[in-house]
Amino acid sequence: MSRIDQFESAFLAAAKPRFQHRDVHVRRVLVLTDLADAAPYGARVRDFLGGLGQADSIAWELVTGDRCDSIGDMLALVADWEPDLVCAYRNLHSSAWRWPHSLSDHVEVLTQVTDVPVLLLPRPGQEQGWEDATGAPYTVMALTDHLAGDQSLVHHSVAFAGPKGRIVLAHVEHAGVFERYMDVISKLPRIPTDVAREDIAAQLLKEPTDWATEVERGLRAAGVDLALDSVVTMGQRLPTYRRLVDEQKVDLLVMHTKQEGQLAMMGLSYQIAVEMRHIPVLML
Amino acid sequence: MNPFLASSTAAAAAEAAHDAHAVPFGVTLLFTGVLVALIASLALEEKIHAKKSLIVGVFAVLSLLLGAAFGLLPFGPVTNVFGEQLQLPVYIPAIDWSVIAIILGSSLFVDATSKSGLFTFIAIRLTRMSGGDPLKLLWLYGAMTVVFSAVLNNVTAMIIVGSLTVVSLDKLGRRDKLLAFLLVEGLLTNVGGLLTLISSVPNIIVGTTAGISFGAFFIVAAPYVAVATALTLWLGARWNGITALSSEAEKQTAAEQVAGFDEKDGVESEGFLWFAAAMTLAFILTIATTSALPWVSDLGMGFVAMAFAVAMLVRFKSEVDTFYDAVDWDLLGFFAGLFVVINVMEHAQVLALIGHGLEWLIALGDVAGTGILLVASSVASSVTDNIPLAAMLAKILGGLGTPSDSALWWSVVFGANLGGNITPIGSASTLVAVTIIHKHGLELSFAGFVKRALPYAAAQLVLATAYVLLFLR
Repeated sequence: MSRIDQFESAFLAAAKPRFQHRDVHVRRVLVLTDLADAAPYGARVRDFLGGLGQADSIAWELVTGDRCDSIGDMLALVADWEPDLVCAYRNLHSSAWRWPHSLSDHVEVLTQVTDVPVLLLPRPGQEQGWEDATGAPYTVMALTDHLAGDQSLVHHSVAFAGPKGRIVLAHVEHAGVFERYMDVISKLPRIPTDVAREDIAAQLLKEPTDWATEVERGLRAAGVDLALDSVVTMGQRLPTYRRLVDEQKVDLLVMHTKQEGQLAMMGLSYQIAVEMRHIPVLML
Repeated sequence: MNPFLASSTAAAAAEAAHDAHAVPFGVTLLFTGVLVALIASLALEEKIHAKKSLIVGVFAVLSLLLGAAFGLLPFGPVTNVFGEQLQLPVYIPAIDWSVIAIILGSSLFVDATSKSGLFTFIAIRLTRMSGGDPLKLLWLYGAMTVVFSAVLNNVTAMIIVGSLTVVSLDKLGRRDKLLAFLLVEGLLTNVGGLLTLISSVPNIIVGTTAGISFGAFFIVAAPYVAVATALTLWLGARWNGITALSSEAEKQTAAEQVAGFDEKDGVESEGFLWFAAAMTLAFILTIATTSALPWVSDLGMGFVAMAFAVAMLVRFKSEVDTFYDAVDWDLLGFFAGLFVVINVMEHAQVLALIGHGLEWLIALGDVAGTGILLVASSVASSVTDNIPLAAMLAKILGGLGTPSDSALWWSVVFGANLGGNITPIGSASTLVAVTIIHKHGLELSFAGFVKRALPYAAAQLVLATAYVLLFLR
């Protein structure tokens, strides 16, 4: 009954996700810091987010080190204050910032336990890269390994890019995994290797490309005034994303960190958060 | 019948008639037993896990051996229409090559055309037109099933519409209605299969034997197909609680869900899509007017089907072999073997024996004879393949000199097609419907199918009997 599969595949491929634009409202922002001189940092964060739609009416709360020294205190504060966004930096409440190989316990738990988006900023003074960013419009790059159908990633990217901003939908298909499967397929007589290579690669790249087209249609229909570009490619993820950030002159990265059935942060998100220290990252 | 060998087969028939008294009754009964065993084996095809072509192939070999052993077969040279003497194996002229050509040509044409994305394009466009409303979806899918069954073939129609039904109901969150949709669509394939002379194999066999033209066939069948389709869909909606969406919010959500379907996704080239659409229309028109077209009328519908297949395959020049791989060789092998078996049965006087029974049935009168033949054909084709039944009855009715406008032909056509709706093994397309149902984890046993399908099949058969008796007698 291979023809049933054949037609089912054709119809499944034709059933594409729809994008519906929705505004993201950021009304309460919690800024976490362990710096002794917290006020300039708080002001810098406010400058950075100056382009957010309702920047003037945002309620800001600058939380200094003594108020959330323990992870429990920090989570209680977040639960209490109910922010729409938490801002922090990678090695908050950790001395490991001198060695750029990790995130702090605070940040890891914060991104996984709460549903609130976390904006990771470069550590003031030590990590360079956001000095020129003083409010939207920004170039925001949304990245994921399963871009197709991801609504919230786009909603947040649009909100942080601001009017007249630019979003780049980036999808890098893992070449190593692809080659591993192709290697297995090449040993299976029932599956023609050339057809599998060609068709699977084409379909893997087609879905995110179609999604970018759909997002463009949805944003145009909603009258959202920003530019949209997409980059869909196959390669080694981290080096490719790093290259794209430079090439596209990206001000902010947006990505998911949570995965159903998993306690730890998603592997790729962790790598990007740790290694791309010079750029703000919004973690959903 | 192979026209090149018409004279020789006519001679063979005459010879067979001449030899009618020479075949001992015991030998005829022996061959009748072989025929019954063949029909029983085909009915148990799923149980014995053997393909139709193999089953009928075994019986063709057995029949030929027995026929040769009892001296029933007309060995020797055959004379073609050019008056040339040819040495051909006795089983070659036994095969009706025009039927084989129609099936092979249509199959290649449909396969090549479907590569253009035409049928998925139409199917998805209709899905979007429904706005995701289940009732509209049922009616549109039902109509599409009937039209696709008529234009393509029942199995392909069921595969296309059934696959789309699974995907669209999943997207709409209406999986609870999947069984009802697939069942109704499966039943409608056999209704759609009645629409034209080339819509199903029994139609081709009976129509060509009776000498019914494509146009005449369509004019007679279309009113019944329209009413039976509407009745089936109405009953399907009523018995399965498939209703229209009532609130605006529901309608908006459903419309948004089906709006995600992209009918152009499977279309590689828009130019080829339109070419395929034009070719499909041209194919239907040419088939419909074959008997009136100069030269083409002599070459026949098999030529038309093969010519259109070749025209479509030109697009795929270097990869036409993939289409040959996709041809249903099991079906073609089945036909070839079946024609051989029936030919041997003719020589063994088995068809004459059944013909006597049929004569008795016809003698019951216009009403009773025609009505009983329709119901008996449907019951027989519900438990075994309708193609041998149609081939055998067509041969017998032809042998009895039945005129082409006789209602008896239509009794066989309606009975053979609609009988497939009584059981899941009654037709290939209902079997496909059940396969899709099982593939998606839904429970439906043989008895469960009969329980659900019988009321629809009964309604369709009552309607068909009334139609034949009231309008075609």
